[in-house]
Amino acid sequence: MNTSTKKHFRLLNNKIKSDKVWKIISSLFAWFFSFIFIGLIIFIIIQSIPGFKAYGIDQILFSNEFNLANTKSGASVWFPLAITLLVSGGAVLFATPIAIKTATFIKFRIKNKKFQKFLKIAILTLAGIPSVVFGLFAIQALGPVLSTIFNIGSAQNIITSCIMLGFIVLPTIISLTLNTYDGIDMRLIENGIGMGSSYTRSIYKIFKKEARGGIIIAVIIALGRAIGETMAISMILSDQGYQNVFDAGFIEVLKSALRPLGAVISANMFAENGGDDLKGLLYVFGIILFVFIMVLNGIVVYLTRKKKKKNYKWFIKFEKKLDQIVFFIPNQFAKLYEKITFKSKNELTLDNLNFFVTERIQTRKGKRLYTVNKIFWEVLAFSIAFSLLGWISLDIIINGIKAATLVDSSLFLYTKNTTGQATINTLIIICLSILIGLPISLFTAIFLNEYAKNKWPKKLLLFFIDSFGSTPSIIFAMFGLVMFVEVFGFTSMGSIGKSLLAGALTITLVILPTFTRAIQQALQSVPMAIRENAFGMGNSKWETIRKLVLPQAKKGIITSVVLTIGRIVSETAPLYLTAGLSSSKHIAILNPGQTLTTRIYAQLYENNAIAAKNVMYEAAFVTLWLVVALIIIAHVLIPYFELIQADFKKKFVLLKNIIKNPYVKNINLFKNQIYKQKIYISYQQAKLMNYDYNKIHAAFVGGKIYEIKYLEQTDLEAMALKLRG
Amino acid sequence: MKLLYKWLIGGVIGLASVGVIAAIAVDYKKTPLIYSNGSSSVQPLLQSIAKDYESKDIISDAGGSLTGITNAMRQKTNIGMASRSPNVDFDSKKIEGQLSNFETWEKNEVKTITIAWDGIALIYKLDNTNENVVLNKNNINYLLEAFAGENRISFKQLNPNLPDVEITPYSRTGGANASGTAEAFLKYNPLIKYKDFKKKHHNTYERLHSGNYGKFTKSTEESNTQAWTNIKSDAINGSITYLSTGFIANNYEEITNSGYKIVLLENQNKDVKPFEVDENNNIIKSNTATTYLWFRPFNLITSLNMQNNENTKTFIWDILFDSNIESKIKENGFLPLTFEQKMTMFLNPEFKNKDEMNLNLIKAKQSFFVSDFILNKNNTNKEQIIFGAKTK
Repeated sequence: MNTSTKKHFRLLNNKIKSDKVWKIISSLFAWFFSFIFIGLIIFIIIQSIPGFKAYGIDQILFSNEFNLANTKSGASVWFPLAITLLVSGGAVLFATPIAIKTATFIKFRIKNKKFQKFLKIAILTLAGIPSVVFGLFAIQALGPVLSTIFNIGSAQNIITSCIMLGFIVLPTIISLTLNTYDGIDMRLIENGIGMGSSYTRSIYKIFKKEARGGIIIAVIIALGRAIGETMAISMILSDQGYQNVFDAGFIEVLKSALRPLGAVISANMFAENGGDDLKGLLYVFGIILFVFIMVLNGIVVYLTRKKKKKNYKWFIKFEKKLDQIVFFIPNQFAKLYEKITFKSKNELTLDNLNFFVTERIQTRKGKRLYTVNKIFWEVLAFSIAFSLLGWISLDIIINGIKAATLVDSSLFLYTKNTTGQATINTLIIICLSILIGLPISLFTAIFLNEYAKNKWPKKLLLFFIDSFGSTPSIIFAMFGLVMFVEVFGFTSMGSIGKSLLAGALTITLVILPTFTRAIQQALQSVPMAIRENAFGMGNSKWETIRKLVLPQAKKGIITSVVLTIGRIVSETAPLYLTAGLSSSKHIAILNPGQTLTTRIYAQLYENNAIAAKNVMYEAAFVTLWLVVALIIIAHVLIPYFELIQADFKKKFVLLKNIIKNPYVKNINLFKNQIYKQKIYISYQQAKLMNYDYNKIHAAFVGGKIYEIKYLEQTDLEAMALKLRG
Repeated sequence: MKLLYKWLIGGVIGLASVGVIAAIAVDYKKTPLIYSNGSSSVQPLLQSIAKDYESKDIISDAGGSLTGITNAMRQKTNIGMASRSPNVDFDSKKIEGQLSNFETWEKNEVKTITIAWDGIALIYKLDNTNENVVLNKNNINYLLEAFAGENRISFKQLNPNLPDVEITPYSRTGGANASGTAEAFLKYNPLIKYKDFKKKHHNTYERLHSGNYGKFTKSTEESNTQAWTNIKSDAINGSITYLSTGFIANNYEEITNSGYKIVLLENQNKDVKPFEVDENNNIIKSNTATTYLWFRPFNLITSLNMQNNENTKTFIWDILFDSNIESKIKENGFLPLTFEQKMTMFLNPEFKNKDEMNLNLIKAKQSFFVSDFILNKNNTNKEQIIFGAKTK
């Protein structure tokens, strides 16, 4: 073996080794992830035992009563579960069409890139508004308006909460859909246009079909958020008299303020006289909700999967028949429309297919109708989404400025229970939990998306992740309280204390499922061809991931980080249980501290309603700006920083060259030949000055280093002429 | 070479971040922390006291009275907060319904300290009348029946002079079982005898206790703010709900401007308001615990033999006897205890006034910090034992 082969062999060996190491690391993270959640499941089951014992399965599953206070009477889970389905389903049904149309509008109709970016940032900002603020807004502004529209008589009802939840999930769906759109090859549309389709039709018939998978994940994440959302909901919905309302009929249910299951769990966890039996029952409810979400996700995945028709011929026939029956009337309408708009002189046969299609495209009446129709709905959705979200942000900004300019505003105070300290605490918690959560989520996602060969474990894990994403956060919070405070004692006072650290760890648990899912989605949207090409060029898997997949997915990962920050900012229960409802006098990680959202939440129990409302708006206002700042860092400063980094790298290499190689000094003679950090010198000039242009590549002029670029005299002159104009 | 640089830079950044985290990890001023946990009604008061309390850092978290009582008893927190007295039953040796709690209470030398009184008042909206709604022993059952929500009750049934408007009650979700205010509304009601009511009007009691209201009752969240926002935004003629008088005092203008009035209580043939107001809507005098007898105690519970509990003891002593804190309690709309009431928590109530007590401070503290069990050792009437301060 000669030296060169040896070197190659060693390189190859290293490659294989590093690939293996990273594979093991990522699988370790995935295992760690699984262990945490298996631990969580075991915790919930253990906690639920007193509930099972006290109430019994009969009373939970087969009863038509709901009375939590009495262990002898029924506590039927179906009532609140039905409300959960109604409220979150209603919210997602309300938000999804608006969100998808809005995303389509932003992506395809707005040509100005800067404006597009501005809109994207605005949407991400709105995803970071704490849900407590939405609750506040729903009670103060939205509820009264809706109750007059629908003539309900009460501002706090299921319709209001549906629409408010729709608001909450709207930004999430829009930005995740936009993310998916960004990952899809734009040439698909050109293909469509090339085939004779219009721009709009190409978007809807080709591009959007391709985006289907990503949109479904977006909806699942949104549904999870809607089901798991408890704070905002329990501000509006507070009724637990299910039997009375259900007896009165469906319309009464819509008008009522019945609580969904998540709110029942979190509102009764610390009941005044609850005790262990009631807590146990709530954990049982948690398990049932978890199973329910799994079933729901299963149905969604099943209904929206890519159909494998080849295997079941009878099924295809059945489906066709079903389609014919269901779509009989719509199909007739479509036929009628076709007859009105297009009449060919020739009968359609296989031979004149080409001719027929061309003729149809060219002469069909109302061919712009499709485009106009779609654009109309897009504009409508866009204006609805932005006017609604504009309404709430204006509400926050105006009231926030009012509150922040008051005399007793604590915006810039950092002592006990001040908005200033809450801001710092929030930042600390965001940093810590992203610092811990990002590696775990990233490597788990890499393992799932890139390394996991076996399909079943991967699917199973993803399925569990989706279901955990919608588990009410109070259950995570109780787990975090036991784990990080009572067992590990991560506080300055050991197991009786609370701390920012425990809060950050608990919130990490809450964000992990959705975070992992969103990153995995970003990785998945990187085209497979890139990987195939890279493997073809002899890259190892890890190299491909590091050098090609991750940079490609970076935008998506940043978006998911921003969305996760939004989630961290808006969570309440995990933080007030582990990081405390009030602040300590001095900021420290092992001391307790209010975050902005828990500060808002704490105001609900204050006795001075007006002062409390001011503090709420002030904190909401700060939260809004905090999120804006973080997004600007993620979307504007990071790319800028990369430019600086690249520049720095270049200079570094140059400096290294200079240290290693000879350089020339004092060439002030060529000072006017400097252009864009480089000195242009012709070979003749170099000869004249006795420079060895094979060795010398750098020069010191006036204390600065410049790279020397050699070129022919004629080229130099041409360049000079061109520059002089 | 390149790899070396990379590791170097990575290492430096890593070390730097670890350093920053370590730097903010510990509080260098070492202010002693006191944790408290429990009732969400007491929590804002304690926070407001804590804000200006210099030497110690008091952390107060909400979580319900029961959580506060059990956590303090089991030494899981320094101070437990409760908006009611702990439920003690000396006959069956149970505290909060459990035998084990009774033993723990004795073993950990738990003491209940009352720091303030909070009144319970009803507000209602009734248009086109100048007649006040007055509650007495005769019509209170109608009102409770209305809150139970099974039957429609009219204001006319409370008082024939009132208009025939149906009562729309707003009650706390989950009833007395889940809400401290709802419990106080029922349990500390001076117009009924709690135990008799439980037996005689079992159905109404059961509904109000469990929160399993009938269809005419509307539910609100536990906190006063949310309950008030709810009833205010609905603004139904005939709506009525119960609130803490501290909350009403703090938001008196908003409540009266929205058309709501306060229900009066009949006491010795006089109609009593929870507090007196001058023409500028300033509260001049509180009647709570003197003539207006619908009130509840705000209790702190602490285990006396818990480790490092000296700071807690100093803090509790200051709450009771520091005049700044006393005015802070008033500022929040609650009523501080009188000196005589404070003395009921002493083993030897031998001092006549504060000055006399301050002369014998060590003796006074020794007499004060004794557990509930020792304090009630000589009490022969075991049925009437209440932990905390007594009003007489």
